[in-house]
Amino acid sequence: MPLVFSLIIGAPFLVGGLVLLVAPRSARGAGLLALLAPAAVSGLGFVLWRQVADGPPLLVPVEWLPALGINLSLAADRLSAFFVLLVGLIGIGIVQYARHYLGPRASGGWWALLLGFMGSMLGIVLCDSVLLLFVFWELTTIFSSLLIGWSFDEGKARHGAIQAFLVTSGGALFMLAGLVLMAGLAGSFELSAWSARAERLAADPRHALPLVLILVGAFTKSAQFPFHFWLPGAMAAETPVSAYLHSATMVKAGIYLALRLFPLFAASPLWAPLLAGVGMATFVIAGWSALRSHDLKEVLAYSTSAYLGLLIASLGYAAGGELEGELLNITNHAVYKSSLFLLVGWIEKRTGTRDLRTLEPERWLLRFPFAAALVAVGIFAMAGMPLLLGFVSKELFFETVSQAATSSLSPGMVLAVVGSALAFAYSLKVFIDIFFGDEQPPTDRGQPRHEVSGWLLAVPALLLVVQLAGGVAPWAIGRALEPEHDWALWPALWHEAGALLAMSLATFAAGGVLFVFRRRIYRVARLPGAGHLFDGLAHATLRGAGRLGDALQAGGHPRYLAVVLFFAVGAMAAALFWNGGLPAVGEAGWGPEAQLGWLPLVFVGGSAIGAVALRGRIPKAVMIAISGYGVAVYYVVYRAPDVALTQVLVETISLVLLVLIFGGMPPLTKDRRGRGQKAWHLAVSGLGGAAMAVFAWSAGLHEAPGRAGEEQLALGLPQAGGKNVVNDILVDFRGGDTLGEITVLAIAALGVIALVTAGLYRGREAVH
Amino acid sequence: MRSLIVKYIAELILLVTTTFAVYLLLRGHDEPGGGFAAGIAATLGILLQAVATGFRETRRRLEGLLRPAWGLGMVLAVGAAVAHMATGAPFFTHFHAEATLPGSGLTLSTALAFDLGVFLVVVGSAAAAFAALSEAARW
Repeated sequence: MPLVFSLIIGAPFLVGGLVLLVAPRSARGAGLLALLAPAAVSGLGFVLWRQVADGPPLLVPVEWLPALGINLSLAADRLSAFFVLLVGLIGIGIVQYARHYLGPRASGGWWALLLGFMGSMLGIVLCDSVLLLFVFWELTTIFSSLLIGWSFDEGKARHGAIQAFLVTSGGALFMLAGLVLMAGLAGSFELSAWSARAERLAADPRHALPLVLILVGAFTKSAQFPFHFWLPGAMAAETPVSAYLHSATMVKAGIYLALRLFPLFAASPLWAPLLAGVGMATFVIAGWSALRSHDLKEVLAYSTSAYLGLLIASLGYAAGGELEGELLNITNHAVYKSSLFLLVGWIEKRTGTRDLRTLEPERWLLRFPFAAALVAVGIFAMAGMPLLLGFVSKELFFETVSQAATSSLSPGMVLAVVGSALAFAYSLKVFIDIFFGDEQPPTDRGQPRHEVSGWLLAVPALLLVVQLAGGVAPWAIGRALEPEHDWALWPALWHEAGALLAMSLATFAAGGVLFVFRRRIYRVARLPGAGHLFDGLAHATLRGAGRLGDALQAGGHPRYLAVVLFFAVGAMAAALFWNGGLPAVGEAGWGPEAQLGWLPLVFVGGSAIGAVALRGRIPKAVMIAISGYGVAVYYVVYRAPDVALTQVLVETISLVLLVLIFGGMPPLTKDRRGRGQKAWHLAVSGLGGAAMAVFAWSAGLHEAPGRAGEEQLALGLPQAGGKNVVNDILVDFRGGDTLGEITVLAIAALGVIALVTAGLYRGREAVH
Repeated sequence: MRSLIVKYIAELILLVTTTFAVYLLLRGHDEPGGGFAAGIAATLGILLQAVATGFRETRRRLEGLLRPAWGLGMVLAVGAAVAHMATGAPFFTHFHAEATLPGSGLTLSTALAFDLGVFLVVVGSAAAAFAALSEAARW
């Protein structure tokens, strides 16, 4: 079974790599190869589903850093398997559609990003370790923003990509903090261990902060109010990407996380108000925005945000009772939203526009009865019309909300009706505008195409079959997804005559009213939303960073040195202060070789004076080097040969570099500093020097409480097999630190190259 | 500065520093030395070469050798760190061979491979940074 896990997560990445290799030779081959990944994932998903659908969850422990309790464990239960199937099956449709929609525009890089996105989403749903979950979570952020900004020469695409990246990765940082805090509380980084201790966790009042932080991550990912603004911006992506991002991946990751946490924290007093509040607010606000939008993709994007609000809210309302139909709701949304996006792609190809106001007035869609039927079914599903899965889903939501209500008419029920009425109204508006649009003559549109592949209709058609089947026989799908519930054998015409029927009727009536007055609603002034606030904040941050940079890096050496010294001295002084000041000068002596202590002092002190007194750059550099060699002698005296060796080498290389640089510089001119400037420089350097002396002194007097050194000495040869314990520490005991350091070094070198070449490029541009 | 004598001495020094660097690298496990020190020693030789013959000339001669160094070094270091995970051992479990190389007292281990990676990253990064800076300064 571990093999199935790694194959499911690995297949998209592996195929993505292969596509990169194949694409330059054959675009068609690349597309066909890409199709392999979701197909494999779906097949393996069925295997996984059969394993876990009725049985206990599967755990695959993978050790990484067992000493820290940080592992890469994987796990799968019915929820995971459901998401694997969702990602895989919708993925097949998306890839097949994209092959025919993009044609030669789909390069190897684009396929690799799409498949990487798929693989990261699969990683999220198959993790047991919350840290691994965070890694995959961030990978979906990176892949999705690269996909959104794929047409990077368009300002809209860049803006959408950056906004999506900043919002979702910013939320993920909150989530990381929450996950780590919660792990501290639960004593484990594994979700399975959390659920074993769920009751104790939810009863502990300290779970509040971590829970809220984790939910912020889920809310940003799922485009919940007030973070919902990134989702409409993300529609700059190619249509297949939008369809995938809105249906089975990305935004569903937040829902997945909330579903994972539901059994753990539903008992928490925070859960119900937080999820119900945020979800309902999103449901209504995003629905309002959808009604006011005219770009088809924008309407759909706001509608996604609203539907995710519904999913989050029903998780909140279900806290007191039983969670019913959530998987059915997710299936409903994934199916109708992806097919509507794909149909919008077809419409845009056919007409050259997706603006509802510029679609042709002469009922053009009726010339394509098959497409018209598909569009109608998709829109009816979005509206929640009877005989479709969308209706069942809406009824289930009403049921959840009214079951949680304490009176016969709760605020939740009113909001649910208002949100659903908005959904009905914007669906009706889209329907009327597409089929009978007659507002304005077409302006500013792209070139319509007449040769459009049949797959652009076939894929949404296959997806919509699920909607119809689910509407006529909801029990068939309900039983497959959630067999533990008792699914009644009713077709989706009405649920039961009573409160639910009344809510449905109220929805249709209120939606109709909203639709009739839609032109008035368009004219309501737009409030400055969170999106504007966000853009302002991003702009102000960049400007502030620029100002800070200008202030700290004024372009002159004295300022650099003063800033560096100020922070170095300040930080160390603060550390010294908080640790109780200077230790008393007492027993601490010079150490074992005290009689030799004075000898290097002559070198160090003498050459330091020489560095100040001598004229000329190179003599000064040599003096500084001699001072450094003197320090190296100290290291030898105090038996630290490794440090001494490094000191000598670093000192030598610095000297050579300085000589090399100074060789190309004009000789020093006469000191033209004023008296005040000289005093200031003297004060800065004197203070820096004195502070360093104090720190060195206090370090020498410091009595370490533990004897880590002796322990390492004892362990070196038996455990790491080396006689040089310094090297044992570097390559073995603390090898991870060394790996981190050389990575930093490599990145610094890349940074130098980037900065220098950028400077060269700019210089060249200025010349032209 | 660019006299023939300096040039030949620099050549000699490059040979000596590189040998010294390899020596530091190999003895690192048991005596003072190791990948970082070896990397600095090797870089020192390259810099002296540049002092003697100019950066352009040094770059022309050594670029092919140094350009892949840091990437290779990162691969080696990460590879050495994760190699043992294949057998289920945790991250950074080193593998030590039983036998030592005859005549050298050298034990082969993934620790040595890791140190070699450190060495290559240090030399490669330093050389890349110097090359970029020298380009900018038109040395």
